[in-house]
Amino acid sequence: MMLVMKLLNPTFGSIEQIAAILTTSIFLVVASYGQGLVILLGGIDLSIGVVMSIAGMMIAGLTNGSNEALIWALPVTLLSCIAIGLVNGLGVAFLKIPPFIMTLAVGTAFFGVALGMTAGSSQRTVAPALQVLMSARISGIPIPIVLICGFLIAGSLLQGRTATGRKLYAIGSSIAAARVVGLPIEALTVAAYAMSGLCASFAGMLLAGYSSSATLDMGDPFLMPTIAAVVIGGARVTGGKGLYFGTFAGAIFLSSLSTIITVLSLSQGWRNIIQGGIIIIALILQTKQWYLFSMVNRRLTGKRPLGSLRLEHGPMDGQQVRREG
Amino acid sequence: MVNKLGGKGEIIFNHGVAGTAVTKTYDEQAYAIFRKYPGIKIVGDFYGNWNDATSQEEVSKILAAHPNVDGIWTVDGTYGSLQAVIKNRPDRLVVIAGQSNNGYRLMMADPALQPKGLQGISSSAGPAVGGYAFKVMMEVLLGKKKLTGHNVEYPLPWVEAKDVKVCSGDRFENGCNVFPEGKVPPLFLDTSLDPKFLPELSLDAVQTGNPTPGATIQPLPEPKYAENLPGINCQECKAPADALEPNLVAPIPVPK
Repeated sequence: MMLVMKLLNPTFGSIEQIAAILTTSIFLVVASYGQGLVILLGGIDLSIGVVMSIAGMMIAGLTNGSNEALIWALPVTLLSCIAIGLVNGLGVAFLKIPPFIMTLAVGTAFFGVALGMTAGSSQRTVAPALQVLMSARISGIPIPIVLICGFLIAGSLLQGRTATGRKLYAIGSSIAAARVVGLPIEALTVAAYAMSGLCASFAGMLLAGYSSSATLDMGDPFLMPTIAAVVIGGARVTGGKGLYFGTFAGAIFLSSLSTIITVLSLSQGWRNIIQGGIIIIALILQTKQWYLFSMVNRRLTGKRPLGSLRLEHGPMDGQQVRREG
Repeated sequence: MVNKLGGKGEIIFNHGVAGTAVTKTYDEQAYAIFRKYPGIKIVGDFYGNWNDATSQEEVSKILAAHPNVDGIWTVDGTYGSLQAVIKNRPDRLVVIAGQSNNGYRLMMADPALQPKGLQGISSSAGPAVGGYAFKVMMEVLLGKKKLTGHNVEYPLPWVEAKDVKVCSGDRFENGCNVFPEGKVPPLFLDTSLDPKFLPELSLDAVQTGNPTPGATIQPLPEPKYAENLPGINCQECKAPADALEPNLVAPIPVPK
C-alpha cells in the first residue's frame, strides 16, 4: 500500500502523512472489533453504523461543549449503546431471530428514535476534551495512534487469552458441542452483541471528537467496512475462526486502500465496486483455502467427502481438534 | 476561488451526493470554470455526501498523499474539509469555497487564520428557501401577488470573509450574519435565517418552529424569475447559452 502511494506521489512517505492515515483508521479499528466478536459467534451486527451515529449525537447533545459534563455523559452514552446491543443480543439469543434481520430492524428502529428526538443533526457542540483527544499528541505521537495500540493489545487479549474469549470460539465452531459442554450460550451471545454496541459507541464518540460535530448519518459509511475488515482479516463468516489482529490488519488495509482510491480520484461507481468486490474476493479465497485444505486432508485420511470432516486449528493454541462439521 | 488562487494550483473537489441533480449541476458548473484554467489541477476528488465527518476524513487522506494542496471546492462538508486542513497542516491553509455553516463562517473571518493563507467564500442555498417559498405561496393565495412565471429564484446568499459580522442577539439584524461560537453548533446553517426576505425569523424560530414574539409577516419584494435549468426546474427545456458563465464575479485571465 505504502509503495503504491509512493508511486502515485513521490513526495509521500513522511511520518506525518502515515500518522494522518492511521488516525483516520481508528474508527474502523474500534468498530470492527465488535463486529469481529459477533461474527465469531456466527452472527452479524448491521446496527453498527446507527449506533455510532447515536453515540456521536448523544455525546454532543449531553456535553454541549462542556468538559465537566463528560463525567456523566460518557457513561450514559456508553450504557445507552450497550443497551441497543443488549436488545440485539436478546432477540438473537432468546427469540432466535436471525441476526441480520434482528440487528437491521433494531438499527432502523433506534435510528427512528434518534431522528425523532434530534431532527437529524446535533444542535450542540462536542466537549472540547474529546476534540483534543483526537488531535493532540503525547511525546510527539498523535493520541489516536496510542489509543489504537492500546485497543489492539486489549482486544487481542480479551478475544484470545481469556476463558470468555475461548468460549466464543467454541460456540462459533459448533453450537451443539458448546451446548453439550454446558457453555452459557445465550448469555455469551448477548454479551457479544452488547460488546459490539460498546465498541460502536466508542468509535462514534471518537468520530464526533474528530469532526467536532455530530450528525445522524455520520456512522453509516462505516458499517460495510467493519464487515469487510473482519472478512479480509481471515475470519470465517459462519463463525468460530478469526483473530483480532487479522481484523485490525484488515481495518488498516481498508483505510489505506480508501486513501489510494481517493487519491486516484476514481468515480463513485468504481469505489463501490472495489469495496464490495474485496469482500467477495476475500470470501472466495477463504473457500478455496478450505477446499484445498480438505482435499489434502482427504488424501491423507482416505475417507469422508468434502465438508463432512474438517481439520481445525483451535483458537490461538495451534492444537488440532477433529470434529464433525 | 480560481481568482483567489491566481488561476493555478492543486485543488480538492468535494462533490456532495452522487446521483442528485444538485450535485450534477454544481459539478458541471464548477468543471466549466476549472477547465478554462490549465494550471488548476484536481489532485483528489470524492463524494463527501454532504457529511462533515466523511469530508474531514477524505481531505485528511488526500492531504497525506498531496501535501501541497492550495484550494478546496466543496458543496456541503465545508466545515469538515477545512478542519482537516487546520488539523493536518495548521501553518498553511487553503483557498476554499463552500457552504454557510456557522463554524465555517467564524473560521473564514478569524484574524488568526487569515495570515496562514485561509481565504474563504460562503455561499449556498439554505433552509430559508422553504420559508421564502411558503411566503410567496401565501401572497399568491391571498391575492396580494400575481406571478407571471412559474420558476421563482431565491437569490444566492453570498458572504466573503470581509462581510462576516457576528450577531449580538438572536436575529440577523444590522447586517450581521453569524452567531458567536457556542451559541449554535459549528454545523448550524446560517442560511436558515435571511434578514432581507424573512425578517420575521429568530434563532429560536428556526430551531424550534415557534413564531418570534411580536414579529408579523412582512411583505416580500417583487420576485425574480429563474432561468431554465434542465433537470432542476424544467424537463423539456434548454438552458441559456451563458448558463455555465459566472455571474457574480468576473473571471481573471488565464495565467501564462
